[in-house]
Amino acid sequence: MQADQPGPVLEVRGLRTVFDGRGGRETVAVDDASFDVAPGQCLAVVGESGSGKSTLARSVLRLVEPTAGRVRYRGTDLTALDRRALRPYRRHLQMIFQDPYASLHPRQSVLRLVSEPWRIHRDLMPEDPCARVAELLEQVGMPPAVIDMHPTQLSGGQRQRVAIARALGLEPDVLVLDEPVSALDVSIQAQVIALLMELQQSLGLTYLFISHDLALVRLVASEVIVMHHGVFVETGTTERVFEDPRDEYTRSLLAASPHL
Amino acid sequence: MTTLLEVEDLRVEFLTDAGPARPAVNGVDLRLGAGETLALLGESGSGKSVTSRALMGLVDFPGVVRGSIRFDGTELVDAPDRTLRRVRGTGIGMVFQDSLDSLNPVYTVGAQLTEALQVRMGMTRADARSRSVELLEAVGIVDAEQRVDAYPHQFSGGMRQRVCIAMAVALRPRLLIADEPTTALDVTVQAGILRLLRGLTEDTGMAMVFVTHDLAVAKQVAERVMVMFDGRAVEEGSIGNVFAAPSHPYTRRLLSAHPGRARHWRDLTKGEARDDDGEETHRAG
Ligand SMILES: Nc1ncnc2c1ncn2[C@@H]1O[C@H](COP(=O)(O)OP(=O)(O)OP(=O)(O)O)[C@@H](O)[C@H]1O
Ligand SMILES: Nc1ncnc2c1ncn2[C@@H]1O[C@H](COP(=O)(O)OP(=O)(O)OP(=O)(O)O)[C@@H](O)[C@H]1O
Ligand SMILES: [Mg+2]
Ligand SMILES: [Mg+2]
Repeated sequence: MQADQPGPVLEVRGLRTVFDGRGGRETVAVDDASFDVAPGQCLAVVGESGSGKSTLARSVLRLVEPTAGRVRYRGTDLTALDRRALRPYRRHLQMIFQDPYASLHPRQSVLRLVSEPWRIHRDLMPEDPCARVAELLEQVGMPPAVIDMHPTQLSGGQRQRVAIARALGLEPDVLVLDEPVSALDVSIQAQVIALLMELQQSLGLTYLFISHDLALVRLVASEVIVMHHGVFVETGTTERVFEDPRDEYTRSLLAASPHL
Repeated sequence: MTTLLEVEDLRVEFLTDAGPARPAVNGVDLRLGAGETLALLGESGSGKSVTSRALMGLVDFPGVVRGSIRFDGTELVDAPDRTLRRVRGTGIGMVFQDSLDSLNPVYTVGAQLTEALQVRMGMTRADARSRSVELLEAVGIVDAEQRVDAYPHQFSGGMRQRVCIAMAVALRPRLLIADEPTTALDVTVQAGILRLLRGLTEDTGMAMVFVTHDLAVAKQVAERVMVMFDGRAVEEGSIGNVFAAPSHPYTRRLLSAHPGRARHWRDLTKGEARDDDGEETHRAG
């Protein structure tokens, strides 16, 4: 991949996403967001429910169309491309969704689910798709036997691992993880996090990690963005934000973290 | 205290082509009085959701339920549909684990709430509508007056989860079964929801079975906890006692896997023996 190129992997400038509501009421879900993500970094976005985290992630990937602003991926302005021109870039930027129950089609086998994206990105189609799927499953710690299973037969943690294997099959550069473990049991959560962090190191992936779990963010991210009502109220290294929060809202978020 | 829910020797098996699979729930006993909350903990696949669904009479073929579930004196195992329909909603309410998808995408949130209130609580249209707005406010949806006319996809993940909670408590159930109802919520919003639910148990005597994998959450809502492992209740007692001296290895692992207690992500999986993965994989297969 282009990992040797200098400069940020993602450069986001003035990103704004507005939803139209009833009677002309608008929701400004993301307002003037600017940030860079360096190669191999894990940048976390935290903030309360409804603060705009998922919309930010979707806007960066153009899964929703931003109202204004620019997103550059390794120098290419994704916001300037039409749908067709955008397509080849999609594989470099993959998203893992919060809900492993919803993001995998229940009636397709694991083999089909993991190999499906290769039909669109034909240049990535392996010579032996079956063997490649087994290899990807192994990479996420799943036995080859699950290849014929359907999502309904898998536990939440296993489904999320299938979703990760599917994304890895496209040899992505950036993974956008929208609450990837919040629906999972803590012990499974721990496995999936360990898997993600190991993959990040071995494959040199860059992560945009969305989470409402501050305790978890503290363990995985190098930098943090705190969102509130669509606006970035604080950004900084994880250590700094946790040790010395400057914004009032960040302080209240940290103070509300439950202790055992 | 009078017993509202009494479960004895609950067993649930899913039949497969090769005969019955190993039981998903294997002899669970449970008692709950009005106003009481039980936190149900346990590893993924241990039978928490199947137990919850069984209490609502929602285990469908090929699932087979045995044992006894008495709600307010009425036996629910093998009860006729008529009985179950009467109990569901106003007797026993439920927030489903996959609540993010349990809203109907083609109706506005307000239409779904209003209909339930009109049909089940006999409210007039106008009353049902203003009650719907109140309920959305109660679960912390800002601009509820406007939001009530929005469709589910126009809400964020955590807002949808809260709408499901509003729907379940709208009918003032005497028992609420909440299956991981706050997984999509940050701590501040979650704390508000937990306060709301606790308030309902204190003010209206609602009883609650609260399924969670988060010990910190269990501690905030419940006084009693039951830990499930492989379909059985392996530990039960007051939260304080179980946390201070967990007897089952899974409970100990749950405590150590909590990110709030780790210093590095590697710490999260330290307490785990390698064969755990293998076992889990085997079980799902
Ligand atoms: N498709 C849509 N149409 C209209 N409004 C939307 C749409 N998607 C999101 N919104 C609104 O945008 C705001 C931000 O939502 P978003 O999903 O980005 O929040 P979030 O930070 O991810 O919250 P959560 O933690 O609850 O998932 C919310 O007010 C939401 O209602
Ligand atoms: N419809 C079904 N058909 C066959 N097996 C099922 C079905 N539903 C659940 N099971 C099995 O029953 C067992 C218990 O599942 P359950 O969903 O209750 O676990 P859980 O404790 O809620 O786990 P989680 O924390 O992941 O939600 C699992 O082994 C599961 O595979
Ligand atoms: Mg979200
Ligand atoms: Mg469950």
